[in-house]
Amino acid sequence: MEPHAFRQTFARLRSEIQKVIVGHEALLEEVLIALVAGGHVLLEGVPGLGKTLLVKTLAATLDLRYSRIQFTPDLMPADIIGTNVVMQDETGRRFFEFQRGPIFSQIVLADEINRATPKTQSALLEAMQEHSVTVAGTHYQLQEPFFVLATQNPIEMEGTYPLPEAQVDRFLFKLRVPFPPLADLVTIMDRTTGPEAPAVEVVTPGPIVLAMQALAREVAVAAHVKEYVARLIGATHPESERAASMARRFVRYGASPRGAQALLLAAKVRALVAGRANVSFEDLRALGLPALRHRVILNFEGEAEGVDPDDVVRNVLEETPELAARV
Amino acid sequence: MTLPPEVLALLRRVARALAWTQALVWGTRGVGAAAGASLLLVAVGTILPLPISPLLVLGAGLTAAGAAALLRGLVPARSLLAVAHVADARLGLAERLSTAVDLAAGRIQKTALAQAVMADATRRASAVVPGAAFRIRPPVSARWTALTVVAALLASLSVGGLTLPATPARQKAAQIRSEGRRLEQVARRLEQVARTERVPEARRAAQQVRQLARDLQRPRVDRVSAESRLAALERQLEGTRQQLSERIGPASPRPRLDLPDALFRSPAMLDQPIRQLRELAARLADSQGVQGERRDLLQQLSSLSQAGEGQMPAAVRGKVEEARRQVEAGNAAAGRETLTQALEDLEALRAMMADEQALSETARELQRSAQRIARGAPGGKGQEEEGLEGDNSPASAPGRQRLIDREEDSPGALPPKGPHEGSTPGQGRAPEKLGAQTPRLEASGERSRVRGQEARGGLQTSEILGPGRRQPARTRVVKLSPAVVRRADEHMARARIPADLRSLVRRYFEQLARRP
Repeated sequence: MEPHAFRQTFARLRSEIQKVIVGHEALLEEVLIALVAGGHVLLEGVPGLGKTLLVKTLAATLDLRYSRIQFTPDLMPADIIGTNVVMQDETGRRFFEFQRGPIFSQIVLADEINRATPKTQSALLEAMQEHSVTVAGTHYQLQEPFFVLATQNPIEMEGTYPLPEAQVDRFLFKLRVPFPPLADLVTIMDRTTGPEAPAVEVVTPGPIVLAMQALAREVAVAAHVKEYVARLIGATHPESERAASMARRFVRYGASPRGAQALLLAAKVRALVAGRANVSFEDLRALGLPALRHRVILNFEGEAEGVDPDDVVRNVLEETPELAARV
Repeated sequence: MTLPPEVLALLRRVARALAWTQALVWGTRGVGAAAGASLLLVAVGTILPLPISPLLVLGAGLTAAGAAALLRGLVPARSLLAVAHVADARLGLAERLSTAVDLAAGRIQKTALAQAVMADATRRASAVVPGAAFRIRPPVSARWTALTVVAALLASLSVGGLTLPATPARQKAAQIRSEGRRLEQVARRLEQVARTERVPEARRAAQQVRQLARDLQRPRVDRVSAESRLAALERQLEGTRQQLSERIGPASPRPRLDLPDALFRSPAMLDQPIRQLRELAARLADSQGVQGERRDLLQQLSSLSQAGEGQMPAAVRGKVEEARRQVEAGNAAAGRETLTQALEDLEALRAMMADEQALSETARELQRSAQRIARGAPGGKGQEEEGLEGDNSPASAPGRQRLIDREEDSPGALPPKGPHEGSTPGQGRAPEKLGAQTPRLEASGERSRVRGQEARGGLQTSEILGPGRRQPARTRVVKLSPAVVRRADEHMARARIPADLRSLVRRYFEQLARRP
């Protein structure tokens, strides 16, 4: 795939989804970036903002298998992954057969993921990281591309189970779905309360998405840009010499190396979308918040003072110079 | 993979612009530092006598800063990568150039999109106009630097030379004025020498020394300018003296031995031959004398022509010999003419020697003043006299005129102190006879200047001729026993001394004997 074709496909995907989703341009672009980067997205927002609709529309535009899992407290891992059931053939012989769960799709919507128990949440760990599932000693490879979009409600905390750090770290981005502006709200009402619901067409098949993912990895990154990523990650760690002031005060653990990978990979996709074959500082700055906000673990003081991890990441971006030495 | 030419050209252009911008920063900082240092020196100079001029520091700083800035501007030392970083940032190229440079240098792994990176960088490098982003302009601090330079200049010109009371700087200023007064005496004496000996260079030098002396006595003359002016005049006088020395060289009397020329450059050495030539010329003018004392004249001419090279130049001796032959041939008039020419040559030589000697002594006095100002020893007056007393230079040798007369024109001033005088009672010694100069001739002098209005109006000089005044000799009479004189003569006779140098050796040892 050529960069030009990449850009065209990306633009068509975006415009097709925007037929249904009103506003949320940045959110939409970040979701698509995560998709092309091969990462998963955790969408956080109050109910009714269109999180589920976004994922469903995305699945509709991509010719990929889609499944939705509604996470509830009684949801079991087997409900996600699948289980061996006893089957009987024509001869009456009984045997176990693996019944695949909803995880065996290419786009998985894990709705209200924080409502399931940690045990069930962790059932996603292997699938998200390795793109494979192991059941009763048998290893099953998931079909590529594999994309998990999870949603969670930040307000309703009663009866929820916050995602463990290891689980959160698996998400490439954590995106916050904002309330739409007034004009967008009017448009939403127009589109959804009329006689005809807007329909989308399939734009991109799975192999094209894989080709886009492969091309994104070919984007060049200058040495000093990589160093900047490393310094950004280092600045989130309170014990680091170059820690940002807020990180030093309010952070218990900074971003992991997986955060650096996520940031750089997403920046490569953004560079291609912008028509470049190289990553710029601007790409990194633009994607700093979605890639790092869920990887910064606040300490007691931060929690007590109600510090927003976004503020910490912003502080890190402000206080970390792009060039280590003055040129 | 190589860097595309368009990218390279852009980077070089940016590198040049950055180098000149940096050069302006360097230059501004250097000039600011020099101006600041100059201001500081002006302030410190009111308290301490500084050996360096604030204006000189300012000038040197400006020159050094200019040179450094020029060098920085002409030699862009930045690496291409560093230039690419700056170009990316200022031209909004989103790290296109630096990534291309990294790829070209092999600093990052070549990917499938490497060619696309290069093509993109080339396209953007061709389209971008770096003029606005890299306009060479002085830094913001240039305005303040210019103000500091102006302040330093104004301070140097207006405050320079001002001293605070009771500070070392004020003492130094007093010392410089004291040296100015001393040099005025030197100039006055030099004028006397010039009038007496009719030497043109010494006359010119006297005017210059007088002007310098007056300048040194002006208020707000700092140490640096005083020293530099003294050194400049000293160099000028030394140059003139060397020219005179070169002119004298071939004509001066030379010893047969390889002895220093200085021993034979005293004009007093020519006094006796001049007197003898005058006497002989006068006797030749009397034709009766020539007829009556012809043999005696021929003998004197012969002995004069055969005098040693240390007494009379060879050319003059040749003319005397020629005059002798003419007299011997009976042509007394021609002999007198030749003898008169020899006399004129000898007198001209003597004048040049006197000129050279006066210039040499003046240069030494200037050097001495400069040394005193540089050393910074307190007590201008006492030190002045100490310097004169301790002077063992040829200028203080007997028979030579001193350029400084003590209290010649300041009768109200106290006599100078000798060494140790005043600090240890009873151990001082009177340096030498003081007082006004006694008239030497039985003739009344014609005053051409009015006292107190010195140097106003034209200076008239006239030669006064008259017989010597009879007065008791000042030289102490020392009686030597005939035995001692005889023994000395015997030793002289035994020593292997050339006959024509015996008188010289004798004078030398007599000088040694007179020294304290």
